[in-house]
Amino acid sequence: MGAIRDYFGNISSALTTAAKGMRITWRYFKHEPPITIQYPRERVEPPPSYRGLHILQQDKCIDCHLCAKACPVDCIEIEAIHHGRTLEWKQFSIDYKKCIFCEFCIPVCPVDCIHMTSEYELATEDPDGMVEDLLTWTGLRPEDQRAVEAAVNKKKGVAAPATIESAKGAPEPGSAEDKAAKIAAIKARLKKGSA
Amino acid sequence: MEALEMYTVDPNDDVYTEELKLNLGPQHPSTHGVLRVELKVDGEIITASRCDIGYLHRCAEKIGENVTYLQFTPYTDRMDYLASMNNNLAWSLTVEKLLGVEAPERAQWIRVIVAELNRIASHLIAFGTYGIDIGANTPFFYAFRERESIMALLERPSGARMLYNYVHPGGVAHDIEDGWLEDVLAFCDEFEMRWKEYNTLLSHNAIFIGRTANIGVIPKDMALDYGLTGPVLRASGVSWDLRRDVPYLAPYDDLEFDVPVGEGTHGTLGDCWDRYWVRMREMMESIRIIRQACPRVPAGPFMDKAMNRMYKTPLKPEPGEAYMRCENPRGELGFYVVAEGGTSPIRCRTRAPSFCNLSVLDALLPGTMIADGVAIIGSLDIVLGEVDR
Amino acid sequence: MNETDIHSKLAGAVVSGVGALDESAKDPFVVVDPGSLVPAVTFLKNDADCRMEMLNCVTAVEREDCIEVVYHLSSVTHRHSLTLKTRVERPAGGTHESWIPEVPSVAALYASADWHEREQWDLLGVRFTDHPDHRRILLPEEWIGHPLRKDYVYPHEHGGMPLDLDAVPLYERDEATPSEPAAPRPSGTPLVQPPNPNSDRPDAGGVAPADSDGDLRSIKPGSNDGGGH
Repeated sequence: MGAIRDYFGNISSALTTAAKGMRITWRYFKHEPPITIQYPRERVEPPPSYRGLHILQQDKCIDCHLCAKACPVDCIEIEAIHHGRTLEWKQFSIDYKKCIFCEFCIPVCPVDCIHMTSEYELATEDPDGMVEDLLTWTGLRPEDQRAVEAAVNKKKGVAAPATIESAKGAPEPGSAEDKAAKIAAIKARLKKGSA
Repeated sequence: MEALEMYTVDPNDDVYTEELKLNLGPQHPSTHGVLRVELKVDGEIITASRCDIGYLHRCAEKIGENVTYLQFTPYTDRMDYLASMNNNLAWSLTVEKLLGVEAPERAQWIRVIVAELNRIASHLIAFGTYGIDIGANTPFFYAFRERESIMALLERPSGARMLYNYVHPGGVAHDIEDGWLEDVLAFCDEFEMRWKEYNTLLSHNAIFIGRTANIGVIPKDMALDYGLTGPVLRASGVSWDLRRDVPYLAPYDDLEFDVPVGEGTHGTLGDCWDRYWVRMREMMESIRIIRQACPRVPAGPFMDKAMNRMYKTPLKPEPGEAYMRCENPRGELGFYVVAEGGTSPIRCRTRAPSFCNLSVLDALLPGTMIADGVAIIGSLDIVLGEVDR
Repeated sequence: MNETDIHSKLAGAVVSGVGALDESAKDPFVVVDPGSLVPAVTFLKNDADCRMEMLNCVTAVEREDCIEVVYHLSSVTHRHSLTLKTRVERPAGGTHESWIPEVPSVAALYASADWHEREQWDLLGVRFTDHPDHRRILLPEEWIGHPLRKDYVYPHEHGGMPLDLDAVPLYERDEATPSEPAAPRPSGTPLVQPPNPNSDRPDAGGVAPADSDGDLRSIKPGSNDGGGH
């Protein structure tokens, strides 16, 4: 008799405890908004301190190779010819197949010319396209400009102003034009990567 | 214990059948990575097991001998990739011990907060994936939701989501921004509520208890013999927590927290459920620590001024050696570093908690069912990146 | 108890070959002879005042003149710890091919020593006598050499798999002209990694580079400041 009571007791406790859990699931299903986002139509906005792809202000760079020495994985290749004080750039590339985004190349720079942006979309079809030539970044796009300022502020220990987006006249984050600009930037990057 | 005796295999038994060799892994969802276990099974019952590790071996110790002290920090991220902050912390403390410096007070308190946050994140993975091992898929999504909040919190000072490289020798890499501590405290309040839901979802579920209680019992002596540490040791009834017993960070002395120890609530002391339950309670202790620590973060520098030079000129400790151990989510992570005056150590040994905790598996599996073997592997909560290094 | 007390107890016990306590180190340590390692560890484990229940870590360290094996013991009951070392002198011209130091195993005393000692054998080539299961643990069983030795030369191929970063991947190799299959290693041949004649790496012949600054990372044996040859 006891065995039968145990048997049905087990079944009923399994059902009741499972039903209690199901109730929580049902509550979230019914009343709570979804917490996932529909990538790539929606994107997560990383914080300004995010360690993404690099940008180089090559007009400021003095070809000192300190960043290449600081790199733990040897992914930075630099080559330039010195004509007196001016530099003729041959190469400044980062191999993103190796790069571990450790940020050690940033604080060593004596002239603050290399920074990390919030760009995190690295997927590409062509592995050779992952050797990024930083010299192709001629002139800074508005969002790069913001990243540079955030990075410089971070280095100085100044808190980033709260309204950094609107102050620069950039499109509102999340607005249609903002998204369109970003998608165009991604497309440009992909094209450059596969070329 | 009755359950264990029931499964003993006797070759003279009538129902004894031919033994089968079974490969569990290296690609198997229940082995939490690339772990291969060679099993000898008689029907459903495991008669012998042998772990085969090394599929993720990257020779981190050799790399440590070839890079500078600072440059090894991102490599420690990649050992226990679910608790990068704690690994960074252990390495930084080792280098600090070697150099004889101490991080500024503000950095110490920040370290406590980020390490405890990461401990919760790591235990959440243990909780979620353990549910999947047992057959409950739902808790995993709840665990990942809260882990996502923690990753978003840790992303703000460090700039990365998983491999933080945030705690450096001499302090932390960046200062925390205004309002971050308030957000951490808000997360604590939210998490407490969620934690109760986890218990309703999984901890007190009768099927879950039935699958884990009395399974994979590690007695106290065996746990010490195998050098188990962390929740696995504490579940066997040994109250041993480096945060309390060997305080490696000054703030831990001032903070009040309990060390959860297994009690054998639903079965024998040291079974899978105890290990699970110790982790669950540890999350709440971490919340308690964070709540006390947040208001006490003092103003001041976040990085030692003299140590700030290490980014440009590599550190050169005096010849000597240091063994430093820290309480990681998985147990005692120790770094043993031997310096001979150069910019990189001549030996950089890692005492990985998962490595030692996994070594008990071969002793636990014989005599259990295959499905229980999965429950045992899950309850040890190993990270193969750390086992193989 | 602190390390001094433990050491005086250990030295006062019937164990011979226990050296002095080095208190100048960050973690004070005791050096014992390899022959008296097992009695010393047995004493530390069983003595009521020491009760070192846990063996945290076994580490082999290659130095210029010796290989030392370091044991980190700790007691949960008394909350103290001790570092124990044993040293095997390097014979003249002892390289990683010709010299395999031998240290008695403590796996019979601590189950945790089993895997740790296997790892040290695997990576540093220290043989632990009387070990119950003396196999490699992390590397494949057919691997040649012990990578953490300072004179180890990084191999360029393992079982037909290219290991050089700049090597031609298997799937891009020309199938029309297959490379000659490597002859299986006859038993008893010395553990030598033959340098690749086609490689332009400066370390292919095992020669230490001139600049051993140490702040440039290259996986070169002997490029460290300390140790090595």
